[in-house]
Amino acid sequence: MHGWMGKVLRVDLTEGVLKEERLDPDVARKYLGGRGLGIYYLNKEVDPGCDPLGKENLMVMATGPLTGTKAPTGARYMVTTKSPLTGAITCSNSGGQFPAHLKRTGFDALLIFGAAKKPVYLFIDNETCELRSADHLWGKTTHETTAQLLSETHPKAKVACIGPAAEKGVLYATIMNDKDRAAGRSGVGTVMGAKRLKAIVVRGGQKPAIADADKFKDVQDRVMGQFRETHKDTPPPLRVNGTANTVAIAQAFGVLPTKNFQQGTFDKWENIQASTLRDTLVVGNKACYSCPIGCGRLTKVTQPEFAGEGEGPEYETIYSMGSNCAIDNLSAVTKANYICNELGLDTITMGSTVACAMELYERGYITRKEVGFPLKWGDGHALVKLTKMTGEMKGFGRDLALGSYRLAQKYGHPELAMVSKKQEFAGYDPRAEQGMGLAYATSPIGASHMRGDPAYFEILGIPTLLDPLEWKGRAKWVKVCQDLSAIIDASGICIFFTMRALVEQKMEMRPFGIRDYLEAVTGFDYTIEELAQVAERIINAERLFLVRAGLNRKSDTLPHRLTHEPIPDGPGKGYVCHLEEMLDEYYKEQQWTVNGVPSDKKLKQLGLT
Amino acid sequence: MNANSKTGETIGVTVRLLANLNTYSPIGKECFKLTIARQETVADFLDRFNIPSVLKPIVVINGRPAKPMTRLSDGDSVLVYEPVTGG
Repeated sequence: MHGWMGKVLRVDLTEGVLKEERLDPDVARKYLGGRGLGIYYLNKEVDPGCDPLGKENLMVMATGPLTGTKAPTGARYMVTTKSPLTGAITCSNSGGQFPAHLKRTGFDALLIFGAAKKPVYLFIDNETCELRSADHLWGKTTHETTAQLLSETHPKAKVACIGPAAEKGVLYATIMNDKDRAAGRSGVGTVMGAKRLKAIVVRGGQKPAIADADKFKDVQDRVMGQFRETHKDTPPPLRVNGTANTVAIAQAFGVLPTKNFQQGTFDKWENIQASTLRDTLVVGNKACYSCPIGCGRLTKVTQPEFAGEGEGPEYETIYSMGSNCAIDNLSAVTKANYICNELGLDTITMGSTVACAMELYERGYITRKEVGFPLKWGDGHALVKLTKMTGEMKGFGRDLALGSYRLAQKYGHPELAMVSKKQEFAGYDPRAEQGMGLAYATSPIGASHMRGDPAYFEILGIPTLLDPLEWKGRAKWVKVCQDLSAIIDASGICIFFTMRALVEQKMEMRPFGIRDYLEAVTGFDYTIEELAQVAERIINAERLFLVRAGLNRKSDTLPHRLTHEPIPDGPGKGYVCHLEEMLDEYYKEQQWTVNGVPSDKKLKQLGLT
Repeated sequence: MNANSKTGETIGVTVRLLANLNTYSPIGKECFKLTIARQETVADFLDRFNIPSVLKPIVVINGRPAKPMTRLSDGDSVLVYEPVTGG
């Protein structure tokens, strides 16, 4: 095969058995890789009703056909499993160096079954695979684990691992790779912890074969030539500002979640925006494998009580731990981000859960007695303290480890959890950004901006700007975004480069550039129509898993606050999110029933019956 | 365009040229106040910064998307940025 390595590794942790399997070329063509292969194997091998933390759950780590090639941003892999936070499927994506090197071992995907009796790690050294004891690593942070594994395997190996949070069962633990890159959402790390798999170490020297090197070079010259021409006088904005660039835009549109989504603007936003981060904490930037942008922020905090060095924060962290908690101290936010990276916690859910706790405290539903100290809006010290307590499962951290939904429910006020399918929102208030509300509610993994991101056309200007307050007709474009994200996620590339450079800059957003790369790399004569079918196949396969797990329209929801309480400030003042109207339109676009179930006709058309 | 060229009256707006567009700031700062002609259009407003058209700058006035013929008003807050991925 070209593009794919043609093999997957089946790992049975219960029996300690490793077995190579051939990747069926027909499956590869129909599902690509990453997110596509993930749902293919989950539907084939897993009972959707299973306990996410039981032996019967499967965790798929899959690269895509463009991962590890020289295609720009061919750096991504996807972790797919059933989530302990949501009870739905999850697929969580990460870049860095690990994914390209995983593929270079000769495997497109790892299928991880069962659970080990004692902690182990998986070492793949150029196709030689073994499970090794991880007794000496259990309890160590992600940074300590990475350093130890590089020292005992090979200094140039790449490591993905979990931290103490995953071992202790925090429901939103991450899998960290290359120290500070995260497959962050929905508790993929918690699943890995339940399997007692501490880490995966890879060292590979095989490069994916390219079907048509001349065609690949032509595409590369065209795409990179255009990129260089656009930015010949000024660098791309993400290299200058990182994703923190979005703070100023979100504030302007009044979608910057503040005080647990009680407001859409933050009066101290200038203290947490990109230029403040750049001028005070950033010491450099960092790029993933084959990335021409380099959006990663290397930072150093000198304020004594928050001192440290590391990567981040990204926009989502700045919203969840900053404005959403009314905290304007970037040093505190960055320190809490460092702790999340080292203990292995999702920064979005961590910050949003603290914000939820702060509102519960403000309203008197929890008190100093439960928390152990006062919990006021804007308290950066409390954020840092609670983040550590959560990762270590100590005191009130045990309640925060449940996420907002279970926390708010425990204290009798589930309406204060800003979640969809029990997962916390990204940094956009959907009352002033209507399409995002629909995307949150219908994302297969619970609230997420990464499984279809309407922020591109509602506030970021790609391919153009539509009125973010309009909901009529919005479902069509949300579906276009979701389909596109499925192709990006399955190809093994990053949305940041792709959306401007490999996608048609019209609302149809057809992925001509991705198609050209896929054709050159795989040798398959993909058309735009076939890729549209691949996208729908992935999304419908995911929906089938959800339906079989008991989820349907009743699960495609937003909190009462966002659908009934008008946003009090910003350009969207007075608006609520018109979810129900958009849902009706959306199911029609998807050819699903009014209850959100894929129709037989659609499933047949996609070969999913 | 001269600020007084149309009516002799001027207005004040607050401008933010985000990220890489900061390069085109007349005073080298991301955020600044500017005095312009009353009723100036977005197209005329943008012209003064000489931002290359290849960057396709987006203009948002008081949090609402603006079109080239939209006219600015006194006290407007104007955000200008290259269409950008990320978040």
